[in-house]
Amino acid sequence: MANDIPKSHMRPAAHYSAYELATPPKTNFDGFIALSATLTGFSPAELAATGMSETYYEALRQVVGDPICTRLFNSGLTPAQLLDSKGFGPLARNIIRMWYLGQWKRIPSAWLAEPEIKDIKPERFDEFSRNADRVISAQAYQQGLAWRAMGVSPMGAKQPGFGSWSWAPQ
Amino acid sequence: MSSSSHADSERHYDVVVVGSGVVGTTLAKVLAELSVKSRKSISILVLEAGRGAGLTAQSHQAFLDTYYAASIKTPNAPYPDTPNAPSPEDLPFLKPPSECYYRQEGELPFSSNTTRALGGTTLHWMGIALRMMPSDFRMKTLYGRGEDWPIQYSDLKPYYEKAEWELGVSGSREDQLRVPGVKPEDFGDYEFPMARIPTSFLDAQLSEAIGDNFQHKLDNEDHPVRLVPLPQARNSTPNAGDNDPRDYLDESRCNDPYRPYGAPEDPSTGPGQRCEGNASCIPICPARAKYTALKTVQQLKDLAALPGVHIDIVTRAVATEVHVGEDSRISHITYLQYEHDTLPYAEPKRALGRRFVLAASAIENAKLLLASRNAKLPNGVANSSGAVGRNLMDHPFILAWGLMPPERPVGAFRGPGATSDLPMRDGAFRKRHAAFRTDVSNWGWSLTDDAPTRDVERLIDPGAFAEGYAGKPQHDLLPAQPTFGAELRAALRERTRRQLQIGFLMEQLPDAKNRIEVDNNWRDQLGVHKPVITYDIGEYTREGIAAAYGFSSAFFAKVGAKEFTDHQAGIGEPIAFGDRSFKYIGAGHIMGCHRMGKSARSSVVNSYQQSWDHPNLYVVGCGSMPTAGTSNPTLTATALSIRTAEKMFAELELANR
Repeated sequence: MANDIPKSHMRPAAHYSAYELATPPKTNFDGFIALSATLTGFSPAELAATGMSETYYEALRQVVGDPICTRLFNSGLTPAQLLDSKGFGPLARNIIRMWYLGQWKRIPSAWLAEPEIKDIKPERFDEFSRNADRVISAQAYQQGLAWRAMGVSPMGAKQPGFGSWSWAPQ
Repeated sequence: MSSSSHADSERHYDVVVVGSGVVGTTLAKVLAELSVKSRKSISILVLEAGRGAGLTAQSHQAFLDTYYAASIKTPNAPYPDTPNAPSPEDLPFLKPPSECYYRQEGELPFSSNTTRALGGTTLHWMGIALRMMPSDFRMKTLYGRGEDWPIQYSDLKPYYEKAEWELGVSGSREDQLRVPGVKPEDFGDYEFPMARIPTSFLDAQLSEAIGDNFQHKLDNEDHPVRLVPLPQARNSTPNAGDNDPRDYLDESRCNDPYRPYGAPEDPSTGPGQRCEGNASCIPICPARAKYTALKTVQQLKDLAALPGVHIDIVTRAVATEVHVGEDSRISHITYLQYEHDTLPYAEPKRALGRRFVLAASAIENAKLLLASRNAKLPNGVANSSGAVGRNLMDHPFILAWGLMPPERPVGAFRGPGATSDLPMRDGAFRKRHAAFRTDVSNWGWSLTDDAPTRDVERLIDPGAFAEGYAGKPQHDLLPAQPTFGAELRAALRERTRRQLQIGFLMEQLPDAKNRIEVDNNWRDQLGVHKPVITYDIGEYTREGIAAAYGFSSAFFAKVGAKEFTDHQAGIGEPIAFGDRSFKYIGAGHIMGCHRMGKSARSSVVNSYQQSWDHPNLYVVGCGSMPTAGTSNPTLTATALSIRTAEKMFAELELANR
């Protein structure tokens, strides 16, 4: 939800053309986009076109906090290693879930003891019910990239057109 | 002449209707149309227990946004609920039994629901608009099972035609003649108001694989297997014909050639939009191409602007008691009107009238009659037969699913829920076991396996599934390592476009033990009774389920699909036949509870849905059906309701305007 985003995190449009997917990323937001592109298989431009980049970045950092974000985006691990990691895996999967399905899945409290992150205490981990099984927003559902990957419209949105279902799938 | 959101408590309405779903509003509309045509004056009150929304574009968009953001996209997810008239949403993982709407007392849970809101359950229905088979009306005579109806298909045929024009059904006579058991004279030279909804690419693939001569044995007799396009109450392309069958319309109001209805709030902007294939008929059609009773509500509002027509549609008005006068006629109905949707405060009111119509769904109708019991009528109103609340039926819905071969993707998740079915709806086998029709879903595994969410989960977190899938075909769906990036994108696409799910809608026989009751200890927060349900599924249907699975194995083999049906993991309630176990879900086809019949001793209403006990009381809808057949019952209930309205109008003796 755009209203939840502090002004300081709203970036001017020009910023989007200046992405550098370099390691280490210049900012955590850049790191989020770079990791998102790697995990989802969609380019930063495709991700930006959903209009959801800020929302998902905020959803992540509001649950786990900036220090853990920084560590995640600068881990130096491969995507496969990230997904296998007990500390970073749940975060990587939630990044995929948000982009693909508009969903967040609750990270259990036991995660706080995982070795990769246990020295950092996320201050707002269970505040405001953000860390709950939920659809991020109505817009997030409609922008789900799973539907793009599948070559279909989201069920209930983005009208495919009369008779389109008679044709061979894309 | 007028319409308002509050009833006139002093007014003696010509007709009081309880329920604003398709049955009640269509009945009111036919009465109003006949009044206009014959230049009479009429006053009608429609009481709706739930909230009224969805008529404006903004309100419809709010429904959609609620649906998009809902974590669990149930049929009622988009619609506004209220504890003052709760809709059944009794999913066991959502609430404990004590907070449910139904109290389940039977061997099996009854899991079909309704929407208690303006427009009723047509807000979330699929829109399949099948007529019943002629044989469905004569089950006892033909097969020694169930009951015969007091009317035949031929009696209802003209009303099916009128109902198809009221709902706006897209279909083809030629298609219907391909249903095994249907004869040319069952449709005559009739033309549906709109052309058949285009069939899906999936349908075409399956048709090709099935070929022309596929037979399957049911009770040792060959039955042809044919994929037949379904008639559906959603807009396609109007037919050019000049043949509106609704003889109750004034000449100036005929819809010739057919002009589809669209967004209810502004029919003047042009004809209704065609189906856009949004793949969400249940729970909501974004394009409003699907019929909902909100379209009829809007037409009632338009009719109320004509001279001589007075219609009040009152929402947030929960009928609580039907009162019987000294002459055994109904004198009035009391109801509770609430202003606030969460606080348990309501004002008791009464509706006076000459004729009373209960059109609140099978379960709500029965509940209201039973709750109206008093010292003189200890079994409730209209219940000298003892049949009120009994013979509750559904079409238990049983799923089977598989994957088409990689070289034959079908492109799931596109179009209306089903554009064709495989009818096995009639034959000598009905002496032995239930008939069924096999819906072919255009929406992949979304119902049975929460696709595409679970597909993504399996790909990104296979470890979470490995244990549960051990030894099952599902294990093949798990990658060796979590998937990401281009590989994830491609794998998701590759598997979802091959998903095939079929579902058997099973005939269920009437059984007096399956019933609705009321209990003074089971009420909502306004003190209104909630239903107590006793339900089971008999051997006739269970054997039919086993036969349907026999067919499904043959079908999957014929079309080259690999089966993934898993009755431990799939959704629904367990049910056994012999040593085999399945799962069923409610189809939402709630029938019986106030059956029609030939005799006051064994039925609640006559064929005009008129109470045997109280001549000015009509109890209408799917609840009047003596047997269930295999057709989704909305079209039949609508046809019955039009027949009732015509009879009622002839007896009303209205004043000239």
